[in-house]
Amino acid sequence: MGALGTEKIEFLLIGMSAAIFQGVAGSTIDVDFWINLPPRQYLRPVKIALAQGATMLRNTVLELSDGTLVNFVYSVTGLASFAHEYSKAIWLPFHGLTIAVLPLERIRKSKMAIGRPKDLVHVHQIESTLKLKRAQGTS
Amino acid sequence: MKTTLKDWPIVYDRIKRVRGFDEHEKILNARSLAATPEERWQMNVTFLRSLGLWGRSGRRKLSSS
Repeated sequence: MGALGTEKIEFLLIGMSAAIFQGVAGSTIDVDFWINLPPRQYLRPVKIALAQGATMLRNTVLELSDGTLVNFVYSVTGLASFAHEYSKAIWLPFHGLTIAVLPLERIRKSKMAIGRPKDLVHVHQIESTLKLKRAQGTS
Repeated sequence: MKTTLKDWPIVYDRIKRVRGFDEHEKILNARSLAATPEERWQMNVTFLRSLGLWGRSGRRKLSSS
């Protein structure tokens, strides 16, 4: 993440990892980053990760040296443009950095649009967390 | 109020009257809500490791099931 920032590549943490960051009691095996780059530069984040010791598993999927599976995505179903979503991101501390994270309501919207069985399970988990956050007075 | 994992009983107190969750779910969610983002991610990794599903060996297990 730090290397992406150093290269001035904007990114948003999305998907279930972003939901977990915001308190959803779920689990996920990978970390999804929405990268703001034109198609001709799609390999830039991959090359950065490889230079940091990652292993390439598929075109946009890499395993970092600590075992974390990272997925780079360049468009997200059900959401507006990167610029629009980035402007509404929340910023959370992680590993000494402050990173842009897609808010729970937007993760929910994206998962509703994708609509696979696992996404609908995640929607239920996100809605539960939103309800509890409201009760707790933090949403 | 910023909280960390150790503050989960405070969060539990605030959500204990919410309908639709059993006791275990409330405790699980209180822990998750109280934790910092770093602690939340660590809980996810610890859970997956406990099932042998973290890292390359874990993924082999997943793809063969």
